[in-house]
Amino acid sequence: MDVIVCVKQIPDPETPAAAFKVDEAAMQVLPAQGISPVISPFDAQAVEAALRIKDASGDGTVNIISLGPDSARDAIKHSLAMGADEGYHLKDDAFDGGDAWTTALALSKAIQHIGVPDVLIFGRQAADWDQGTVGSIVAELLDLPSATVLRAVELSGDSITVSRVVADGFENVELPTPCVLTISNEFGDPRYPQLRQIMQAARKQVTELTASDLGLDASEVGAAGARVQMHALYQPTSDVEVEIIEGDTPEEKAAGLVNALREAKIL
Amino acid sequence: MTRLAESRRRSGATSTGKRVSALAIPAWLPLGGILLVSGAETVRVTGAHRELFFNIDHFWVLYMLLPFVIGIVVYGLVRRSRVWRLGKPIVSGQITRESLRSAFDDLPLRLGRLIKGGGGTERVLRDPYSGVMHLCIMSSMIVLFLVTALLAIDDYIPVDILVGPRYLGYSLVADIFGLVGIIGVGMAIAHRWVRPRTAWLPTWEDWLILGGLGALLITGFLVEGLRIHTSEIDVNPEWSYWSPVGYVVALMFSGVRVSAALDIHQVFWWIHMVGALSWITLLGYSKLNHLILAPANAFLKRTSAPGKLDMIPNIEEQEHFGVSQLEHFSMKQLFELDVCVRCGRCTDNCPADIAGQPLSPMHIIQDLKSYATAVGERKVANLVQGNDLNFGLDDEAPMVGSVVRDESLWACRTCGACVEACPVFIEHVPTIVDMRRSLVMEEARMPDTVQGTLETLERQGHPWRGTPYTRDSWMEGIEDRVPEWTGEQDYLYFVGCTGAFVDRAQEITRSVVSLLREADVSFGVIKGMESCNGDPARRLGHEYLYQILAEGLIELFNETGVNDEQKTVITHCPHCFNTFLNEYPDMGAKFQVIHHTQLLEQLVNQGRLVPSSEVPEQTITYHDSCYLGRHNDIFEAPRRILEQVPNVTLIEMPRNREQGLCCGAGGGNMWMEEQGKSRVNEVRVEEAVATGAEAACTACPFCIQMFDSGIGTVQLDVEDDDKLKVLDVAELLQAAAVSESD
Repeated sequence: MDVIVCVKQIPDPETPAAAFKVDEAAMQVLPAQGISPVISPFDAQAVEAALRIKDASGDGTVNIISLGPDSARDAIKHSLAMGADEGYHLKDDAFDGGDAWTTALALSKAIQHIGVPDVLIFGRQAADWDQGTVGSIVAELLDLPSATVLRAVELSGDSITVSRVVADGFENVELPTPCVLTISNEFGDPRYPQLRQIMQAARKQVTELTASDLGLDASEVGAAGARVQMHALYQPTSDVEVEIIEGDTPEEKAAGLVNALREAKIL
Repeated sequence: MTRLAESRRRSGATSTGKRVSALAIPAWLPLGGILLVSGAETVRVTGAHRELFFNIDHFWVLYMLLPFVIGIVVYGLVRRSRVWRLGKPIVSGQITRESLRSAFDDLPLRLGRLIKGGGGTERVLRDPYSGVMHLCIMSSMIVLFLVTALLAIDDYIPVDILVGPRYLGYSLVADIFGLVGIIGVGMAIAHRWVRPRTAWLPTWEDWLILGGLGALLITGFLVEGLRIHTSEIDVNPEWSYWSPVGYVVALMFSGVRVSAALDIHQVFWWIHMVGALSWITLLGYSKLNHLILAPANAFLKRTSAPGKLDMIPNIEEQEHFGVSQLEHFSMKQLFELDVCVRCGRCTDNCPADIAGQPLSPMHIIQDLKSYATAVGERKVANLVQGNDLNFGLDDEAPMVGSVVRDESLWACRTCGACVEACPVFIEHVPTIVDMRRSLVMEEARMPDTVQGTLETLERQGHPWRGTPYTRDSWMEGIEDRVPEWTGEQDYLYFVGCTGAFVDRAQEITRSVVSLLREADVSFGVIKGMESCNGDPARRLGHEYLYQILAEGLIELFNETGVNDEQKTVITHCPHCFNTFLNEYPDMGAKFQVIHHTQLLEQLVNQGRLVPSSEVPEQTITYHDSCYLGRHNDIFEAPRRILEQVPNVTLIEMPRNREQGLCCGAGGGNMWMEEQGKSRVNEVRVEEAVATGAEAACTACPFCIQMFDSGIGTVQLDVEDDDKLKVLDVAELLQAAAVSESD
């Protein structure tokens, strides 16, 4: 069974708050010193899901697509090291400043360029902007059925059975192929690459594709094609006041806490 | 009496055998005294001697057997050496000049170990009971061997040495050491039977070796006693007093008719002799081989610092990473497996085992030894038959994961307590880390927390996943008092990841800076640009990541002028210290390295820091960090600082210095969940609390954290003010030597 996974490289979510800075004028996140960008954790789980589908089906390929600057190559290499077969890097200055729509458009063209696989997998959302829309837009553009926010994926013959995470429990769904899936963190940890695979991945060629390779005009992608306009980017400040509730016994402290919460109109 | 008459008369000696009757070259000192005493009796004892092969016909059979015995022993060892030779030569894939050089570097040190540690059994003697036991057996065997050899020499040379008083002294020494041997064997049996240690698994080997030796000693005395009874006690009773044990035995036989006694003598003589020769063959087939292998291993032990892990050279070109098969070990590592005598000292000293966690270094070595016997021999057979090395071995349980379980490998703190305790100089830690390397790099199979730590190291250049701090958080508010490294200063203060990213350790970092400023030391800090030196990755088995991190840091040191023989790096953390000092030279480092406690001690001695302010009166116990103490021999510098702080009384925990117990964090366990009955840090905190000390001082940011968290559970019900305080030596010194808060 052939699978394509779309992955995004993002600033490390483990970056300490103190090291996270934005340029409010340029409305951009500044890279933190000494902290490398990483593959979005949900996307690494998506790669894991794809590899398990490939293992379960016994044949097929897992290919990786990423749209992003030069460094996005590392996210592709990481996926290759985990065991994916080929990588495609959508790299073009024309893609700069895009939004979820332009990204999905470019990805869908790339998927058609490579060949629509049996299963298309995304992370439930990129862990930087957390919009969670690209996977669904690609499904629309390619006119494929989709299931989002999945905690489990299982092959059953030619169809796929998945378990969605919903507000009050889980929802089990069966999809025909081809289809689009987005993977949630409940899916479980992605594998840690073996050193030999890291070395092989380092030697592997990644195919680079530009907007024109995909038959896209520069006006359709990047800032020019974006449908979302950013108006401001800033770090909110939050002041925390701490009040220690005094009391000789736990009961007194509890009573004091209740009073304080009432005063604050929380109770 | 015919037989008697027929038997050859010779000058000296004993009935051979084992025996006990003879004097020994190694026992010259006691012998000197004996000769003096016996000299006084010269008049009466002139002519005293014993007849060689008294009452024995066909003694030549023995001489026929001897080459066989030697051949059997040599065959056993040579055969076993084929398994050792499955391993890799020490440095690279082939025996090269380099690999030979590394096996024989620093000859004086190696010979010293051979003599003191091998011959002198230095480490065996540390345990009083076992030490005495072993000394008894060993001295008895050496003396009795020499006694026998002397007898043979005396037999072959034309001059008679063993006559008169010399013979009597000889006989006395032999009797004494025979008795000493019996005492030793008794102690050894009692050790196994009466009070076995938990780690002990006496097996057929133990009983065969000990039982055999005991039987030899006893039959030796029986033979002697019967000889005295039949030929000496009536004729020259004053000679017999010089064979006191044989004399007592002779008295026991006094009611037995001489002709019967002579028959019994012959029976026991042959049992004794054939038994002795059979017992000697155990040298080639049982742990008795430690007589030969242990001194050899003392010689072969690495001469580098014990905390050093060896580099995998040209790692990108390796066919495998770490050790997952016997043949991935070095010859030395395979050899070591056979040196182990299952004494259990390693396990008794292992922090994981002490805390009831799933690691026993002895069992790792023993299980690998059994595996080397079962599977190694088959691999050798495959080689001999020209098959693929692993032909027919596909169904064998994997060595790493089954023979040695993953959780045992992860429970290792790399603290080196096992290596320090091993009386036969086995190095368990490199063997354990080699298998970890395979788990991490070859199989990518590791606890989640280890994976998270390695990922954080890869991405953020430090192991502290989820820290809210940056590299420079610790200097917030004191930026202007932290000099930036310019390349001009004498010392670079390498803060390290823990000193920067962990709040409790940040306090220590600030103390060190404050002290360096107080003493006017020319130092600087590389702000914002430091990265991990790779120690956690290396200890966790990710050699490749270690090399990448180390290359990156060395490049930074090159660019900033740190990597210079004239520059010294002060480390805050003993783990950084060990890696810089012992492992970075392999990566091209030239700079000097000093731990903050060493430098602070110098500054106090030079009067540049004066611990004059009175800190509150307190009793302090010092906890040795493994990587400062056992691995790098820095035991006294921190203690001498503490001793010079007024009002401080220093007391020791029972396990201290070389025998110090790990805090539990070493070997990457700082970032792992502990499995087992209890936690190592709680065991150690209990030991510190038991001293009655008000505070525990240490010099390692990991130890501090482990103590803090251990106190949380061990002293859960203790009022905060009464809880054990935990301080870095630098913090205490700052309180005493820096007048104002800097």
